Amino acid sequence: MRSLTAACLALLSLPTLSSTGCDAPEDGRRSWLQSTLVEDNRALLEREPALTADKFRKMASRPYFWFRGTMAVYLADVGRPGPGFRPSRFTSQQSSGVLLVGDPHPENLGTFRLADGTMVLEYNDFDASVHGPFTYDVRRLGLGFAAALYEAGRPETVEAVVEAVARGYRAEIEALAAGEAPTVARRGGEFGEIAEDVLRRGERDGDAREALAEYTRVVDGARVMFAGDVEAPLGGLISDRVLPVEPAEARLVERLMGAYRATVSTPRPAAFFAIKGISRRYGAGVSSYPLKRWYVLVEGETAGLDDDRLLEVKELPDPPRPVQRAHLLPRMFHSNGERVITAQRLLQADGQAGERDALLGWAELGPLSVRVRERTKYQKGVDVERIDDKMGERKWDDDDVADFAHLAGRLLARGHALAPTLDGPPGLDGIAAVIARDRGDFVRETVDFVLGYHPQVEVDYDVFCALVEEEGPWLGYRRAEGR
Amino acid sequence: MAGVSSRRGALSGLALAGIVIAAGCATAPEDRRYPGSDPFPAAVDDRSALALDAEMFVGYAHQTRTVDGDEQSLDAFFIDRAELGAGYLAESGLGAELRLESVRTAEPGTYTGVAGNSLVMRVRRARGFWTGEVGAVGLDVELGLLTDPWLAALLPRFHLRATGPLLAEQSGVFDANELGAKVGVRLWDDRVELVLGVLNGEGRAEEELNDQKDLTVRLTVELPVARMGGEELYIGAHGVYRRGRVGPGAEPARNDRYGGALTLTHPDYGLGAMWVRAEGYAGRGDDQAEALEVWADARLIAGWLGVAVRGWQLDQKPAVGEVATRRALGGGLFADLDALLPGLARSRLYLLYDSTTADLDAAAVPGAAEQIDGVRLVFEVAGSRRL
Repeated sequence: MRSLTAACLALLSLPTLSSTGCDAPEDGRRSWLQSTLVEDNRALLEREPALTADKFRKMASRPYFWFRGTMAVYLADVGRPGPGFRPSRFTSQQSSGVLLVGDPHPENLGTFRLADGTMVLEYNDFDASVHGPFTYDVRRLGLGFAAALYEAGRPETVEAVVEAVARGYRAEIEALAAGEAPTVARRGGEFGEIAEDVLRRGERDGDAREALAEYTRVVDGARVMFAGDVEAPLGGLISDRVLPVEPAEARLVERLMGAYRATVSTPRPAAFFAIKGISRRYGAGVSSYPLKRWYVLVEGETAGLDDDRLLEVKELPDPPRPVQRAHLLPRMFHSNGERVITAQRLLQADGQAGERDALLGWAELGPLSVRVRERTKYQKGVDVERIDDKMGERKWDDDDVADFAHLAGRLLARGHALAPTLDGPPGLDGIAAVIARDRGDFVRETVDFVLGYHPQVEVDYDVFCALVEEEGPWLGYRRAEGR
Repeated sequence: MAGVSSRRGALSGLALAGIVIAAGCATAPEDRRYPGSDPFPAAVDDRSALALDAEMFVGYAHQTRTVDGDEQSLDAFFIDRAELGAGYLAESGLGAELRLESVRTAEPGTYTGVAGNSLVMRVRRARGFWTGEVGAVGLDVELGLLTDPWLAALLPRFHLRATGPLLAEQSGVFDANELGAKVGVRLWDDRVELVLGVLNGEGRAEEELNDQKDLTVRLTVELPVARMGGEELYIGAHGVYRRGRVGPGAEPARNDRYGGALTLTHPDYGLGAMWVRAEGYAGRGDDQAEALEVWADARLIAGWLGVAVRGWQLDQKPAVGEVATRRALGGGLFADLDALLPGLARSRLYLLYDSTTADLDAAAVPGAAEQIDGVRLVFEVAGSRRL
């Protein structure tokens, strides 16, 4: 699949995209899609036009990347009449103010290493976290698995895997309602081959301090930031590049780091956060591709080189809005950083194990809000291309994917159930009550939604390819300097 | 009935109230036009003077929101409007107006705005204009940030703005203000008005995203039909057509409108019915929407007590799927406070009840029908002064 991706990217890098083979229908959907994407990316189109154009090229390179970059489209579709609008029968006031992951999909699951050395699998991206109906998350997760499986040419597997997502979700809710302990996905094989694989590789690469090895170098007895491509560009798009920052940018990051220290859950001495180097990271993510992301090397516990820590400082934009609420939401968060980190801590909490990332925190400076986390290979994300490759090698099969989907559903349910809702109490009672209305129908409804809506996602992908081809790298948006 | 989005508020607009009252003049006769709605270029007889006007709606609301049997209540002070305008009309007929309005900086469904959810002032209108006559024909030309041609016809004839925006405005079928130009022709002592508007098509909150302009044609015919209490009663018929496009790129989404309205207008009475159809709605060129609204108001005891009722229905018709419907019905009493606050164009206190329902597809959370019942106390004050 990587070679196919490379070929697609190569095509997209050509001056014209006539060979993409997109066959987009001409209807109102096209202009709406164009407007929605422009509005969703408008600030970035003004501020980072080249990187945003590359983001669109990246989204056009694979259907799964298209899916990942279109959370705003999904929310607009599920929230109001039109394509994808299938109101859930499992809706109530209580279950509509659940703290959502926001954009749960297979590649937003990844590993963490707890303080006691235990590796766990968790959701790891809460940029889009807001309060809303729990079904939005469940459906989005199912849709993510469907997008990955359709892209991999396994449509026959989709229904069973989406069903596993919903069954896993329901199972966790019912278990918690019965007083059982929340699921914690540790190593040991209990949660299937895919979970075990990523946990094992996370532990291995983390132990090897691979992140430090990739993004820093030891020169004349001092650790310094590496500059250059960590991974070679693919199809003209940056994959993993770190570059030095200008002094003014370095001062900005230093001020952010100064503010961040107070938001870490366990206080550490200032010397721990003494900055030894800063670089700007390019090429990460799909939706967040143009956002500012810095790597910051800090001293760690001692002045030695072996315990240096690498932190990622990532810009956080406003989240897409899931619900056209009549009322304003409670004044819970002062910034996107506080919103995202609070959501991560609440949605990862299981009442048993400790915090997933002890260096997690946030900072804000004027309109800029950032999340800070440790950049370590202990935190390894799931890669759907790897799953596809392993299935191609017949090392994993459909049941393994279903096991993983079931676990993804369970972990999603655990977060929803234990985190406080808009009204205050945890989400469990409200969710359990509506699922109990018709257990079987909850699974069926989720599957029906995904099978019914995914064709629209595929059509939209073709429309998007045509838009990039016909409207240009900014989808027809005229930047302010051109007006 | 009113948009429920702005219930939460503060009393910071009271500062503006001071300005309103300070600006109040003893010679502001109430005509059939709503105060502050569009003071220039029509109905101005005091030229070469700087006109200041201000308007404010503040109040307190108790609301109950019921979703799937669960009730939530909300009690809140609110400020629905705080506006301050300044305009100048020279003897030549040339003039200019700048009008500011307060807005909350967070939208419904969001957590934060500017410095929390602060009230900030933004430009509501900023325009240059010329008004004059060529023979028996009256001409008005405007350029800048203007009132939408359709709302410019209805708002002066709608006495109940303090109870909430017209459905045509609150539903997004029309944006209240827009960058562009308007040309109006008035005939037969202003009884017939034909307005042509060429506007950006993105509304007041957005920059222009495509080169195409919205073209709006509006025709108003209004005749005096009787004298009641020494004042004329006017009956008006209004029609509008807009050819609109919205969004970026070479093929922006259709955003057409057509509709009509009937109005009865008198200082002591008002009656209106409006129907508008949108071809292309909320950025979706294939969607349609229909907005139907009726309203009525009457002073029962001149200068003291009156009654107001409003009702509307909004149908959103997607290209795919079912029609989503919201309905509202409400009304209440109002007391004019002219005797207590003399010299203002209007000072009025409303006590209102309204109920808004949304079906399964139109509810804020799709799948659970929603009902919002509210009782509101609204204080409205508007005044102007010529300097």
